[in-house]
Amino acid sequence: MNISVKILLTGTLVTLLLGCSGTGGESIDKSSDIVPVIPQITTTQKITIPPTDHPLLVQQTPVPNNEPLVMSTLIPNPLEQPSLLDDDLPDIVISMGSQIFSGNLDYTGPITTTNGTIEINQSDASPIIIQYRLPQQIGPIPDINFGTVKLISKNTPGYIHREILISDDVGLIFGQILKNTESPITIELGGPVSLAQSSVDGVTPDSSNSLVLVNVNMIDAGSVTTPIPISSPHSIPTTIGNIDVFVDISFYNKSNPLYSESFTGYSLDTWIVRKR
Amino acid sequence: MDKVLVVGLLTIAGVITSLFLFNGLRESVDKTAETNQQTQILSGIAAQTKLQIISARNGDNGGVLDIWIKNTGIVDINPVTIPDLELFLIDVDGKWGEYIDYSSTGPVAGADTWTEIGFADPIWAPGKTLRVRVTLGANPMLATGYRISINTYNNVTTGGNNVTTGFRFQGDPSAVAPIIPTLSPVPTSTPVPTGVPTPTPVPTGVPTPTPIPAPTPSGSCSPTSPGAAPILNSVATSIGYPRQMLAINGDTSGASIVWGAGTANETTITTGAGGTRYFQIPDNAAPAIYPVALRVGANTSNIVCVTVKASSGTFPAPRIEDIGLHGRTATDLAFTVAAANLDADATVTVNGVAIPNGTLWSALPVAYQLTHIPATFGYPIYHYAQLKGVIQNPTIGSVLNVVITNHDGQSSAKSYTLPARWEDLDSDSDGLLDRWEDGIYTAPGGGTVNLSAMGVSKYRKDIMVESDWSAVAAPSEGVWTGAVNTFAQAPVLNPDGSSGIDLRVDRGQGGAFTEGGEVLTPHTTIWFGGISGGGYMNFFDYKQTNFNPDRQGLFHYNIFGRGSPRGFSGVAEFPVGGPENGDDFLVSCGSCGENALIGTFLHELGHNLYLSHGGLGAVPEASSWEHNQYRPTTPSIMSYRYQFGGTNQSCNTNSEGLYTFSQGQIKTIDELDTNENVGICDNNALDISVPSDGQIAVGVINSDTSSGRWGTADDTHRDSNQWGNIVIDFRNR
Repeated sequence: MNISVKILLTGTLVTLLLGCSGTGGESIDKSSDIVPVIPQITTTQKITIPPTDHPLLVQQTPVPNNEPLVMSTLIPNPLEQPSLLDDDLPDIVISMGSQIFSGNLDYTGPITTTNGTIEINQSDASPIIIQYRLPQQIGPIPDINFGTVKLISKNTPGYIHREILISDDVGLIFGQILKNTESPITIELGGPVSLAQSSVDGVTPDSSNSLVLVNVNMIDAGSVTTPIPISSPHSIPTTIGNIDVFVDISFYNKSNPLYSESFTGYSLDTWIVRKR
Repeated sequence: MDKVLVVGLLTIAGVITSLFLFNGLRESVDKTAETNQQTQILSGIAAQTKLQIISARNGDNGGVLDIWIKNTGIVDINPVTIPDLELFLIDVDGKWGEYIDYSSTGPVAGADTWTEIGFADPIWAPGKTLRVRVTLGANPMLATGYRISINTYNNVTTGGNNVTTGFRFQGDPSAVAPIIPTLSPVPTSTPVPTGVPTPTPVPTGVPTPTPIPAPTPSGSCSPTSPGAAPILNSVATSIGYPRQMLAINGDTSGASIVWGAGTANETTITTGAGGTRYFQIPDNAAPAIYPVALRVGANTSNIVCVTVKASSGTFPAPRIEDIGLHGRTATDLAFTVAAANLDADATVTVNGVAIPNGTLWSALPVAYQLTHIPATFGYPIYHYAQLKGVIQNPTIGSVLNVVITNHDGQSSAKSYTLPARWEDLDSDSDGLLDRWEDGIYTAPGGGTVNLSAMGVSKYRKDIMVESDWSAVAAPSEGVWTGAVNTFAQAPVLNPDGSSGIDLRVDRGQGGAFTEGGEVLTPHTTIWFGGISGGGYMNFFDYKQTNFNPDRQGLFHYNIFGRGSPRGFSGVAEFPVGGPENGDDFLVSCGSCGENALIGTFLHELGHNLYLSHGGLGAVPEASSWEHNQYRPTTPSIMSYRYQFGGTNQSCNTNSEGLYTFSQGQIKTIDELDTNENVGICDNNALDISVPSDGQIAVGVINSDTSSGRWGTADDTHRDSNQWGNIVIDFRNR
């Protein structure tokens, strides 16, 4: 912009200002100088979802407003020392401290047995306590103070795998096994003695009968010596001594597609006590 | 370090968020924090940033809160930016929350402010701890749990590459008080006299004698005391994101909400028939504190303050959760459609025809995302809402294809089939026909069940269960309370607009419930099928003896048993294969504690409702992935991870006592391309591998956790909207 244009614009502006303010000799009401400041609502938006007067919309009384979604949490249950169920049926609990024991243990060393309790006194960890209630008419477990322990304990919402095998220098003296596998289950009791499930063929899934009993046999020196009845105590002489066996459960289950937690395979839950 | 460089580094850091769970009126919270971090790439520079709230203590009867914040990153922070920290105090329910103003002059009487204490270092170096003191003169802390959220916010964006920085922290859950469900309205942002005159009601466009400043991010909104009607008691929640739907507690009849009330930028919002009871924060609301009021005609209420947080990611599409019916005339039928993230002004079509009279009927505000980073979720849910409309002359037996479309054009569709006869309407789709719920059900054999005496409603979903048990496995009263509460708190909107589901368990408690609560003959184990004998019992033999066949098709039958042959904690039927399926479930966990029993009861009932371990659907309909038992992306008690101890809201895989089903918010995880640094949400570093490998890895991980029948090598793990897909009507699956 050149200088002449600037001068022209400046002159015009001065003229306009003078013209605007020129009021001649008129008297001025000074009170009008106090101009109230009136804030304006400069922007007003409206978001309106038009209501309707249809009877089905207006005649129903709305329920009270919903509170914001609450996701309340529960206080953790206080830790309690694991214990047997409060009845007289067979039961067993393995604990370490105040927790259910979960894991594996291979141990040889001192063991303390009392009525209903076996204590495994590890030198480098808290003792593992096995509380048990034997099925009626088997046992009791003989007192021992030294032995070998093989322990597997795993608990999930979907299954329990529990193997407790306590042996002295002759063989198994106490066993409690809850096991689930795809093939028939065999349990070595020591020496030539074992427990073995039979195999099952031809089971079809059926909502009323997908779970069938499976025979269990005692095998000694390679030959079947005794079929074991299910859910009743049985005492068998073997080459390692007299053994009390209580097979609580022995079955084969074919997965049923209508059931949520389901599986195909063998299950065995059994108690074993060798008498001295 | 040079000041400019320090500021520059902080700018690179972008937004840092730290979150802390705090129990009000506790003397101390000393739990060690877990922190997470992520690397942000901005302008070609990578900077690792972390803040950690390492402790918080309160005193003066909740009037003072001291917070220690540690710079655990590798970046120096300039102390001059400390006043820019954004400090939020939010109760654990998210019903109440407050942005706390910084005060450079120390505590302000009658106000809630914060200031740093004794920090004189020239830089806030990594490893240094900043102590801030919050003085709560207006809203002292109560004996409840609180979340403390601290952000640095400096308006830095990530250049549109969707890289969000920050980390989340959560204290040990044992430090958090239990959240007690509140059935009565809880005031939010209770108006407190502040000495600011109550503004004269301001009709739109009319000058006001008292200038009211526009809202600013520093939080200039001053709540005012209620005066003449209308009265605005509260807005729930008092914090939200743009477009989030909030509930109004006040004189809403015939009212509109005034957003930015008394400022130069008022927006009046009117939704629903008969008055505005819910409204959405305007899409374009910038992060700030806004004055909000109700207006009826020329009368405007007191002011309540609502804090808007910055948007995080794009707003998701709506997702239809439920379609119901809500009355009919000779020619017309009212229907409701409930959806997550539904706009108040969404449009509805039925079979391609627009419904002109659709209107907002109800909503369910959701606070969850207020303490999370929505952009890190696959489908963040800001609210649920429900529209109601009228169809003229519908054809009985026809299919209604319903489509809802938000104002951004995103839509969702779902169909609803009308019954073959008008008298068979089931408005709330709970399997109990309207005429049964209005009175007495007559069974095919002539027996009757007085459903109305049991409190059911045809416009609100009911689930009926009869429970018996073995003496040694008898559930405590807390089991029923826990299970009922889970369904009462369900994110489900019924045709009558109410939220939640009524779980009604006949456990022989009296009144109309006298048939449950039988103590069964003793057994050692119990399961579905097989021959009862020895210590074993077939569930169905018990049912034969103890379940009234007149209730078949109405009630689920449940037993709490002593144990199961294989050690399963329970089993249930899926609702497939006929009307006799989907109504039986067993809890076989006599040694379980109360919480584990609640979880197992809900888990097995969930199977009856068409849910599976990793998602939805039942064998054989569902693909195998939905049965993954330990899926990391399914925060639900249907997962074996959470069945006993509950799930969490913390973006990890811990059990934290939350017993609920999933809402499908978590993003999909691809095992072949996983970044454990960002975990499943909130950029919360998480070892997703199963079994845990103890590593935070990038690339290929393994979390194939299925076994047995469900054994498949899944590579993709997604979350499922379980609440939105439960099937209560097991008769008609």
